[in-house]
Amino acid sequence: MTIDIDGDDLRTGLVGLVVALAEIVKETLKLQALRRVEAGSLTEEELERLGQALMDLDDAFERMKIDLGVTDAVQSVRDGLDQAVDDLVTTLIGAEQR
Amino acid sequence: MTGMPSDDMGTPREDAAPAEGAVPDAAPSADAAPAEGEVRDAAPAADAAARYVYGIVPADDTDRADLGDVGLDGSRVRVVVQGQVGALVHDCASRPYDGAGTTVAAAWVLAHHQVLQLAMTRWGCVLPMTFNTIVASSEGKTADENLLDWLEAENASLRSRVDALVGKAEFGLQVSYLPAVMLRQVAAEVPEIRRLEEEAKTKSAGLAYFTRQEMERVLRREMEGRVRDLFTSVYERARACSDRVTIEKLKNDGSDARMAANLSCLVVLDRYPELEALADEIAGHEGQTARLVGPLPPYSFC
Repeated sequence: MTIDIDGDDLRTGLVGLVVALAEIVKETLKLQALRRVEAGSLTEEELERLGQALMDLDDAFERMKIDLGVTDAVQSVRDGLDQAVDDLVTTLIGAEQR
Repeated sequence: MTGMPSDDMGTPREDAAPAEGAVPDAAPSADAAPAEGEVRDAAPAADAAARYVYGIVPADDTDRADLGDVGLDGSRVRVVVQGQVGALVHDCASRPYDGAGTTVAAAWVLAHHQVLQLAMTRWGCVLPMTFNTIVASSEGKTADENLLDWLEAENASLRSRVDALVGKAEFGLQVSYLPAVMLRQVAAEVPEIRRLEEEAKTKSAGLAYFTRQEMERVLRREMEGRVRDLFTSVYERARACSDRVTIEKLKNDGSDARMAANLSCLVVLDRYPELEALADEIAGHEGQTARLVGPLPPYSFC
């Protein structure tokens, strides 16, 4: 089987992969921040600043994906990862049930 | 699956054919594939020393030993009887059918399927074999001898498996939902979401962000719960009117709809209306669809 590589496809795929990974890191950071918020150790002023910062980060990612034209590519990487995790879980559960 | 002529006992679907663009001389996996490197073309082969097996039927009525020219490439399908069972076969070359990137492969798989459908009509049941199940000759034995040996060795087991399928057929039930519609329903029905929405409006931008995050979390949790409930209810109800139910992988076709349940149901034909009523009822809910496919040969239950 031959693999047909188009320069543009390769770029979109690669940038999509990088942005998808960066997005996952961002979401992990966000989750950490939300934990801090739930713990109640931040002042109202700190909360406001953190909320603004996270909102700006979300916006920046959305803009970046549109500017780079990789919104679909990022989604497809993430769907692929979800599917891989899904398959793994199914295999593990299936193995247990057998 | 012991005692089958081929290890590859998958369902004969179009994807059972070699992928487009595959190297043409790479023979598909089949125990009975001797002639390595040779490519079988679509024309009927002069060499017809092997037997292509479609499936197994009960051998109660020998009058129907010939099905006519209904097989792959219009080949003549007949029944080879041994003891209590018969094998639906046609004479073929002793190498697998290799479609290698042609539309011919799809036609072969369809013909295989149609022979099984015909067998179901005539005998009321059939134990399907996978596409490309070929019995070849071996050390001093012809293909017919090998086939009869196998049928004899597995006679009781094959007969009981065929008997278990009498009067039943497989139906595929696929249930999908539109996430946008479900989201709207959740937002309207869950008070906590409306409360958080109102709360976000009264807060400064930074603080409102956390409230909206909370709202999204509740929405996701509710959605996941509803999809899970949808699956459970479809599965339980399909089981109630089926002999057996297997859970298949969820597939999404690139449309807006997401699949919540993909089931293969072995159904006693008398009870088919119950399954149909279930599909209709599911599809009656806003944003939900149900696709019922069948009757099919029992590919998932053999």
